[in-house]
Amino acid sequence: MSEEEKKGGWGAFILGFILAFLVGWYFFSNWFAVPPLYGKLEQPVAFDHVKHTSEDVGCSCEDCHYFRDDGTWSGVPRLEKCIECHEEPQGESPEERKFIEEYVEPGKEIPWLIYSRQPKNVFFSHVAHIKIANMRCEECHGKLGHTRKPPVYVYSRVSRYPQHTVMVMEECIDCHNKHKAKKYCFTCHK
Amino acid sequence: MLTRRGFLQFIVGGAIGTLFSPLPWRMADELALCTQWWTPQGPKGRESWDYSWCQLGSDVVGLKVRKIDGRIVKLEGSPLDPIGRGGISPLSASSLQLFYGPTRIRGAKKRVGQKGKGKFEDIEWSSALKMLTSKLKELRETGQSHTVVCIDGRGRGIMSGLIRRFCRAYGTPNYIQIPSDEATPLAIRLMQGHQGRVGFDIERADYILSFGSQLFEGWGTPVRMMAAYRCLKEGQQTKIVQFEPRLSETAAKADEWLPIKPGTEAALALGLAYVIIKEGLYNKAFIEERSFGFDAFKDMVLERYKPEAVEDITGIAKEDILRIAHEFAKAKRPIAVWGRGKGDIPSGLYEVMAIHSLNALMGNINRGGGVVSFKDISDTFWPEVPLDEVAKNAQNIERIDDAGTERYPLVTNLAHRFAENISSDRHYPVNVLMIFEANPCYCLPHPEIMEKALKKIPLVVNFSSFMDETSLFSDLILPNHFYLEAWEDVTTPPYLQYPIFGVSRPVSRPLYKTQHTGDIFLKVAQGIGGAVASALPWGDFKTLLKDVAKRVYETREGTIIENPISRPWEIKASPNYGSPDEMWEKLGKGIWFNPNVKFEDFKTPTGKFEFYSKKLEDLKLPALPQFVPWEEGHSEFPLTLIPYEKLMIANDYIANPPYMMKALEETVLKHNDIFVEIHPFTATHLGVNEGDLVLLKTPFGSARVRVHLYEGMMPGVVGIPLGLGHKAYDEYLKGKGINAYNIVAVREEKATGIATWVVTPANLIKIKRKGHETRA
Repeated sequence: MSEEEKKGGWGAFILGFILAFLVGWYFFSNWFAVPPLYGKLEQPVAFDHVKHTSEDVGCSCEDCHYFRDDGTWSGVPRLEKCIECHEEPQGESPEERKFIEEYVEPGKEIPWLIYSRQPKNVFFSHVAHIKIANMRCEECHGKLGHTRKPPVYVYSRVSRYPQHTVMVMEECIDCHNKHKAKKYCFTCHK
Repeated sequence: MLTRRGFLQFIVGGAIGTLFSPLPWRMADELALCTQWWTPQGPKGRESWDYSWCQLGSDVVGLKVRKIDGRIVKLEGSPLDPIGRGGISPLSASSLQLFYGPTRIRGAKKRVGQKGKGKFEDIEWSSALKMLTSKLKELRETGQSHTVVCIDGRGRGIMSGLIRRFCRAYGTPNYIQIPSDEATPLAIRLMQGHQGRVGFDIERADYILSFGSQLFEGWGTPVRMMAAYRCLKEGQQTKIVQFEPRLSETAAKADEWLPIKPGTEAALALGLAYVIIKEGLYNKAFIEERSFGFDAFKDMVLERYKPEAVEDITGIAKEDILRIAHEFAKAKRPIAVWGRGKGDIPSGLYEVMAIHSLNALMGNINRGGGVVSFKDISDTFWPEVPLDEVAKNAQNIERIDDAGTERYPLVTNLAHRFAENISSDRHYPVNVLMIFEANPCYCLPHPEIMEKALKKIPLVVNFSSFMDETSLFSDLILPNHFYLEAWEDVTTPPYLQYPIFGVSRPVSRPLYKTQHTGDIFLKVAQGIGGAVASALPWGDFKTLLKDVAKRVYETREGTIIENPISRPWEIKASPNYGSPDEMWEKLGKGIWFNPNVKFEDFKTPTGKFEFYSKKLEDLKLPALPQFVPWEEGHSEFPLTLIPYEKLMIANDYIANPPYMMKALEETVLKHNDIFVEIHPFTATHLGVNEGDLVLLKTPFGSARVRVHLYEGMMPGVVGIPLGLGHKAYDEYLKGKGINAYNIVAVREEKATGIATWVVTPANLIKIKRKGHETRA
């Protein structure tokens, strides 16, 4: 056996590298979001942001997502807000009919899947980010407010957090650095 | 073929390939996110806020109540509370632990085992009320209505008025309040002829002499005093002088602390009076025009309370007495305050008279920055009780506790005598005892006597919400709602300088099968019928509160707070309510208060402030303030034991929630061991060190305690905290330390029968252990 044969060349190394690289990217990147690490869920109601903010309907973002008088953030509206208009069907949409049957009539809150759910060990103040730091909603929430159909909810089966928007401290710090915001422990942590 | 080398290359290639993929970074993040499961997660749901009032213990705190989906999750101080102005006390803040805690009683219960063993079975409310009503009816019909006793632990407000009225209409003289500050109302009645509220206008005073009052540790209303301290120190720079044997937190906050021998405050007050009189520093206009008996007072003080003599009695240097007297007399609005500890370690009548004489010498009565007297709605609301024959006859029967009898004609309560008299069969037997918001088997001296007394009473009915020491000795438990579940009146707390009235509404549905004790009294009255029913005609407690609110409305005085006010005692209040309904509506959030209340003039027999009490003279009792030692020396017990109180220890019907227990210092309680404080000199003399286990002996018992060396304690004095050593409740409270009430000495003031436990002769004996002498 020649010395070259004994060494075996780079073939096995490259093969191992490529395989691991592909497996890593395919199974662990949230771009593909495939099992076993990731799971996908559909929202319980196919809410159409574009339709609601169109001229026909005439809602503004602030009708549903607003700051309360005490500065707290209203978040996702509760069923009573939907009932203001949808106690009776407003159109022919089968999705709307389903929504009324499943939630409005029994008075059951919609179990929305929150894309931006973050770990609870930090305070996140919307008013501080929007009113003081003058950030735009899109900087964190992307184009969610301009979708015709809710995006698929991708979550990790290990940590159970949603994958596209969950942050770890490094990302918070990057942004605080960028905006020269305070970084004391108790600025964010409970 | 894959060689060993090739396999290794494959693995290394794979490992490096992995590093260029998201796998390791993603999994590191996942790991970090997984750790967040450990963070306590708040409940999800709809947030809402409500308003309520906490009146546990000495607290009167306006609350903002945070709820998630209707479940209360947090209590905060309400900025609409003129007393605390957004502050909250530790007890109020942690009271949710009592609300949801395991010691809540979940429904009506009837004893099945031996008394004291705590064995109960559930009973329907209807049968429990029927049992109580028929027993009370039977006793009334057989001429034994006076054998019914009511113990009231709240002692203020509409609820107490209702119980007192029930007793009067039913026909029993035995309405007993515990704990009861007998000396203050009595002294004010004798010196000023006033029966009503007494307030200290602390916030406007510019010089405060505190005779053992732990002003910033629970005296009066804790939230008020905390806010007052801020006000005193930020604005007018009021000087606070604390006379106390121990460097309490109040003494530490004061400008000057002068350690005084326990129980000698009266002598000090009269010593200060000596200097003020001798040097003519008193308010001459007040003394000449508005006081009576000054000459007799002057002669007595000048003869008996020279600073040298007072120094011997009190241990306070003559120079300090002179200096403090000068400073006090020169101040524009000086005030002398009393009420030991939180105000619930009793003082004697003559001691309060002596201290109050200082206020009179400066003419600082019924004016800003002084001692003020006024009527509260809970004093004026109640209409005359219609009395039938049974009730009229009962007025001639002596009380079971000897209060108001020929021997002790002045006092209205002598709770310590109640248990003694029953256990020794001194008077008539008691058939029914009803207990509201009191835990006499814990917080009266020598609780074992009360336990013995309760064993002798055939029907003990307790309205407690908790399985406390007294509940264990009860026959029937009819649990009251917790304050967050009930309609409650909010009336003027002790020592506040203006009247208030509020309505605390239920902010939660009842968690368990409990009933409002006010409703029970009203129902039972209707069940008894006749004059009792017509004396208590209200359908329920809420209806009664509406009537009270209407009466407040009719005064057309005061105002309902709608926005936070920083100095409520200074505002000019004008009614901001147009109708009773509007007032009721506004009382849901704010509170009515009247800082411009009319002060009560002197209504003594002479129409003046009486240094020399005519009433006492008529009763052939000493008519002038005086110092009478509480305790004689005792060779076997060379030390003096004093109880002290802490803001972090609730010391009455309500016991400490776990949060407060956890906040106690390790020099107060460590594991289950309580610490007594002694001065290092005393420790050297006794041969004990920090943390040593010792036997604390008094003539009334002994207890194993540990020693904490504290330079803030007078040499020769031993300090023990009140409020620990419960035998009931949960694992956070039961068996933690010892109950100081077990070993304190009860001393009676001869003239009045008022008892105190401020000084107890004691000794400390070191306990030697094999191997390790101490654990600390």
